[in-house]
Amino acid sequence: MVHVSLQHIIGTVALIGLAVSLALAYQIVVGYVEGNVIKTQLSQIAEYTSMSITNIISLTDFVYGMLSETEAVSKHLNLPAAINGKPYNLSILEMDGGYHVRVSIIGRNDLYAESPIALGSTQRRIMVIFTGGSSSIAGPDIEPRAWVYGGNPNTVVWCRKVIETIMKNNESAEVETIYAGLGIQRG
Amino acid sequence: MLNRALRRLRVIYDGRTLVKRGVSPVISMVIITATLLVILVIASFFATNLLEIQMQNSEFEQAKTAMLLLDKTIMDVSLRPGAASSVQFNQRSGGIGVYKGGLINVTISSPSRTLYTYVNSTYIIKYRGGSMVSVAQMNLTNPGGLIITDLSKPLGYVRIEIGNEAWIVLDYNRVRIIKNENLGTLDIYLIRLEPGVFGGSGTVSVRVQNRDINMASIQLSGSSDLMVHVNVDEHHADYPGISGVSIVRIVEVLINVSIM
Repeated sequence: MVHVSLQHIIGTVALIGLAVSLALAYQIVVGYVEGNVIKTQLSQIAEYTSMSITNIISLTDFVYGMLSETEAVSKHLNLPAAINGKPYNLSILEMDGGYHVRVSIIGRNDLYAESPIALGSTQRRIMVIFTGGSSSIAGPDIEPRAWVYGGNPNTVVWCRKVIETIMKNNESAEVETIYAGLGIQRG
Repeated sequence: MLNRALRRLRVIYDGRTLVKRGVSPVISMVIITATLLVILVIASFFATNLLEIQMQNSEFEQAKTAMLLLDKTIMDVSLRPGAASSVQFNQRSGGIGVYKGGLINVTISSPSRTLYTYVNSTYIIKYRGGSMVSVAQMNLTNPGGLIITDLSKPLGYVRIEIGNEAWIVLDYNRVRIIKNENLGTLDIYLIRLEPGVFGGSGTVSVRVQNRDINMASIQLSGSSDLMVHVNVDEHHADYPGISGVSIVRIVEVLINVSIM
């Protein structure tokens, strides 16, 4: 029977351990770099979406400023189908008294980016829909959504100005309200 | 022949015969290795420095382009109330910030009295380049003074300033005056930056938003000569001899600048 010396076994195990730890270290470094690249891309998408919502509100208010009510206007978002091959979601969150666009990689809670929606520029009451549902506020062609899948080519941001009756100091008052949010173009 | 060579190696020292020998192989190896290591360290230091210089200069050039884009973006959003847009800046060796500037003072006066005075604090956007950036002082846009009457000239002044470090500076400390002979109006247009939210590191978005457009107008009864005087810190400019004007409008666009 052939005897294998203990030193050889230790040496071989050490070599295998070294190879495994090198591979792990490589994976960690590559994962870190990839995470940073993905976060940058996510933040660009979040910024683009929040700017699009701000601009469509500004456009509605500026162009149709004289009108009390408008039809819904929408803008198609030109978004990548996936980020580094990973699918992602867009959603609107209410945080710290404001609204934020959140873009996150599906299944990875650590990979996300947020961008605040710049509001407060107009004198009107602005409400960004984030709950979604089957509301018809955005018209027959647009389905308002709380979140959309980033790869959907029919993703839009929409905006509509309406007159709403609200209670103010126990009296009802008519207020111009701007609704805006994410949605999907039907059809 | 061999004896002669051996004789050469022998020297008389202190009454004894010694044989000259070379240094030990270990010592020579240590010397060679140490020398190589020193050369390697110096070479890598120079290489790293050269790479750093290249990277900082590239970053600064990129920041110059981004600052010019930011100027155009501010001009774009200044036309639409509520509009917002953003420009990305890289902050590896440099950094961007909004700093307090001087006071801008605009006075409209007739020969007999002062009709209107506008005084407000100003803010400027500055990008600090890395310590290894080598660049000359220059104007990237040239508005040419505190009062601009030429519509083709920009309102934003982007320039490179050299102090203890290289800076890219953008300010709007000037006014545009447009006189309409047919309508008898004089429009004084200015952009005021205000600081917003600041945060973030690495690659940041500089977001600008048109917060408000404030307008004041002065109805003039007579047709006396007007003069507009603009003063920012120690700089001042006059626009005298404005006649045939019945309405003066002062339009102030408030731009909120956030870094996030």
